[in-house]
Amino acid sequence: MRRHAIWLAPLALFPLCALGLWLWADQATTIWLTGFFAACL
Amino acid sequence: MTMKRPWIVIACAAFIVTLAMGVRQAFGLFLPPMSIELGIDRGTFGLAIAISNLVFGLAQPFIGALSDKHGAGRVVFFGGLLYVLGLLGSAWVSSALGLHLTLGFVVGVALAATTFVVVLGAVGRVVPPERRSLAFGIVTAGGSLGQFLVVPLAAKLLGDLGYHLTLIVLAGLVAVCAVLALGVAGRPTTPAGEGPRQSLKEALGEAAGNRSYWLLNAGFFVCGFHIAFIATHFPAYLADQGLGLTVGATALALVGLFNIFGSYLFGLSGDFWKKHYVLSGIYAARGVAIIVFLILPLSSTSALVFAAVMGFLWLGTVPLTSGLVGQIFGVRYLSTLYGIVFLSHQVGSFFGAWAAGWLFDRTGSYDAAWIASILLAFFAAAVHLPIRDAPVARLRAA
Repeated sequence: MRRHAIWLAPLALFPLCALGLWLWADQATTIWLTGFFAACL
Repeated sequence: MTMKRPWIVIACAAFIVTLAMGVRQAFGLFLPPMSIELGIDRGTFGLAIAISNLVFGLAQPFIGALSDKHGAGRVVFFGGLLYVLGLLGSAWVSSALGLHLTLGFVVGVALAATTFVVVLGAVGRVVPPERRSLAFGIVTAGGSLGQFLVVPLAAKLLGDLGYHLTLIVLAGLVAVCAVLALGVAGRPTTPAGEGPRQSLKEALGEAAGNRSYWLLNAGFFVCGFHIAFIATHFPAYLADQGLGLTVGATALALVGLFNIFGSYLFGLSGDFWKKHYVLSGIYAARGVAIIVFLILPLSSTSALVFAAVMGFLWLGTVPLTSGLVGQIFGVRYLSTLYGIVFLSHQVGSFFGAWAAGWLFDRTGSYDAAWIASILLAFFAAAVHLPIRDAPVARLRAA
């Protein structure tokens, strides 16, 4: 059981991922327009 | 000072790279407001970021060696202070030269002192070999989480506070790295089972004479090429093909989200399967993903699925590559040896960002760059297969 649970451990990050997705939904267009990917490698 | 308990070292290392990598990834957001206020063009601002990346890569082997000699705690502490100085300095500079010195040079050195190469060395020394890849995966996932969370947070702060205050807030965030340095502090010693004491020169000579080490360098070069090419040019590719802003922005978020899970799961898989075979699979999967993406008709769905797949494969190479270096050569000089491999990654990043643009300017399309990415993916998949992952004779004799 414990052996399998370790593969599912990242699910514990779900609240942080939800927060991140909310922030992205709020700011994604701004991030896109300011060329986030072009400037930071 | 002796090293802390493994879970403390892992947790502190993960938080350190969460903050350091997260803040770093937000620099691009400052391009429009700083360009306007400082009266500089985009190329001049971009040069500051380019300097930062170059210094990050070039300084990494030397700062890795410092970490192996004096301990990760001291290096992260001074790196955190430098990071704060660089960000605060960039908030008050009034010229391009000032920006290149602060956000470029100072932050570049600080990044080398507060990210994966240094903290993974500390983690490697306190975690037993059979759990090391998982531990590296947790720390790498921390860096991925930072990139996912801090970028939109910084965008929100920029909109609400302006760039001066936002840089000060980010400086406050990275100042926490200097405090967390306590958690990874400890005098580096040769772990039990790693044979007789070895000098840095002997460690470098041993690695230089090992074919597998060079193959790892070659593979990580390709990783840097892929990430920089897709990060820099994928949005422009989508725009050229007529896909809207929403698709591009969602694609960025999906890369960040799936990167968290990929970093952890590929790190974990390295404790169950041979790391060089998993690495080979990651690179081959990247090649197949690019081929499928290019063959299928381009749509919003195909772009988002491709972003998710590439995100999943994004930094999974970090725990596996660093884990292999530790497995083959031991962890006494892990930060130095992995620092050199990381430099290879940064050189690949340079070519991925620059050469793809150069090819586009020459041919008017990204076709040549996509083909180069596919060929390099299968090249990297192939070069990992003959890697001998057994510890070197010095470790076997111990």
